[in-house]
Amino acid sequence: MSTTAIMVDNLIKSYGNFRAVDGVSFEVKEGEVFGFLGPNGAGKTTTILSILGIVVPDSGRIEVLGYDTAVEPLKAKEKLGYLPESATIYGELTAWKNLEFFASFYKIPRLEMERRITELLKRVGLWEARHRKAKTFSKGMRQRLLLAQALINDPELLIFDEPTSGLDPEGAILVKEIIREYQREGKTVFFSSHVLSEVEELSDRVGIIVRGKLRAVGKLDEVKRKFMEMEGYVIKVETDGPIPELKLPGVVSIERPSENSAVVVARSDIRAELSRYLCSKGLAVVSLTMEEPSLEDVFLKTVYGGE
Amino acid sequence: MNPSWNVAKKELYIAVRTKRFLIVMAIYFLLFGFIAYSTKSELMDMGSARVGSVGLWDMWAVRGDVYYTPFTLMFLLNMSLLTIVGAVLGVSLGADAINREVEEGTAKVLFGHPIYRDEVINGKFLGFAVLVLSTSFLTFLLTVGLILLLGLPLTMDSFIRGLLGMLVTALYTLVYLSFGLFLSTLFKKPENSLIVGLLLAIFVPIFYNLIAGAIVDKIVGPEPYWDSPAYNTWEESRNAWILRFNMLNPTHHYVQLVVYIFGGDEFTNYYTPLGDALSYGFNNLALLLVMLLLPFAFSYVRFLTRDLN
Repeated sequence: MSTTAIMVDNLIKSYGNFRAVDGVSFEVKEGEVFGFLGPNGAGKTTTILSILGIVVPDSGRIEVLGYDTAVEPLKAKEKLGYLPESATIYGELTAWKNLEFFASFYKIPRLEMERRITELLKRVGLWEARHRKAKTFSKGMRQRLLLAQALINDPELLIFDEPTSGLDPEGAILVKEIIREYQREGKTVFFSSHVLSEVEELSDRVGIIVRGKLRAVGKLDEVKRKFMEMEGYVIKVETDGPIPELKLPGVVSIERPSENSAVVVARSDIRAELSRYLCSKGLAVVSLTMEEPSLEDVFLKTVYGGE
Repeated sequence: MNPSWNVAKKELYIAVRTKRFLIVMAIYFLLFGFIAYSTKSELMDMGSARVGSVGLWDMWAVRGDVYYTPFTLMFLLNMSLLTIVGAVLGVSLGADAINREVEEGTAKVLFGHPIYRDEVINGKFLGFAVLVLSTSFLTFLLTVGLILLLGLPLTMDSFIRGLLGMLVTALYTLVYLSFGLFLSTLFKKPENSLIVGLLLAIFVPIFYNLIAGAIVDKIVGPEPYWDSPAYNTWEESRNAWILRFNMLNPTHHYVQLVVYIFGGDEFTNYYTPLGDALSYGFNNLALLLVMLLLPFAFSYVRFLTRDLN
């Protein structure tokens, strides 16, 4: 069994002259929650739709749960659950009939299927509305039903495209709960979002895609460290007396909010050297902290300061 | 269960509940009721069956003798209605079958599950085909029911020919369904494909031959004096051109086939043997099948190769 749940290699997809995805490569390990981050129009959905074969890539190779999607497109789909963004469900069918229809594509015995549909409808809070046509549902209810259809086959891999968009707060909490539950069970979750807090909260690893190119990929702290290496380590220092001129190797810039404090941007973590230097000048260090960038900082810089 | 069959069941379940289908059927029942009411006395007073020619040349470029029984007459009247209703029903079922799924995003949901694209298009066609067959059978039952209700004779031979006619009616409706399906892969907006499809479904059975006739008149020139030797040549040429134009007209082939099925022999004053009738109509049947399969093949290719977002 492969330990890679999703492998995307040099994926390229254009719509006319517009290149939506431009040489994207990444891997999602089994059992991890991977947050796929990017602004609107960055290529997140196109990447996901390519993984699912809903759009046909111009080039590149995709493997899902060890199956090459160009060769065995259905093998992987039997084991994954997909929640699309801005989609609808069959309005003329009831919630129950919708789930029954989607369940019919899997080899699930009748009784087991009914048990699963019942469980899912209760889980997403639509049990009372199970005999209502989906066209009478609110947007949030429809999104919940979409969520239920994604779980109908008890998937090993969840692919969620902007899972909380269009959901009420209660629904958003439910989605997060499901992602965490899958994480606990050692299953894989790949989800796209432009909500930074959501990605930061849920993901083991993140990928940031901007204008079709993958700008950063890795564990959250790795991405942040890489960002700091690129953008500089921000160290805040406060002493008991006026800080003299800081002539230390690796310092890029210094800001002086007050006489006794400084914000140093350095190429590496120079807290030890800085502390020694200030002590050698007869100053007591009151505080010395390194500011870790938030995912928002990384994201904003990657998206808007990248080029 | 086969995924195509699951899709077919879903399409059938949804289609019979749509307003569109119910409206088309309601209009059909109303018109059928009107025809039945207005021809009731003619049917009752028909007397013995006889062979006579059909006057359908101007409308659908169809010629032939039919064996007129009350059932034949009622079937032909019902057929006239179905040339339009069948076309509208077929197109209205198929013309937004694919692009609406893409536009509303249900295609994305569907293809998140293990199903091939060809299984989806086959399933859709199958579901609609079951509905078309059921509807055609219902229209046949209505005709039979009316004849029996009026206490008019219905022989087994007429009944079998009626069943064959019903199958041809279903085939004709499927031609339009296939064409509608093709439009739904051609146009992005379901509203556009539906409008284009419905316009064609109304235009072809009613106006096609009027326009074809006008064009043919331009081609063959002015009509000579009817008693002159040139008249026969002119008429033959005109008829040949009309038939050439009608090669592309499914309504012509449908009506011609029905006329052959109910064809009559003047010498025996009875139906033409069924084998003969079918051999006369072989070309029409073959062309109807081509008209069914060709747009479906195009839809297939387009649906299988396009992006669904």
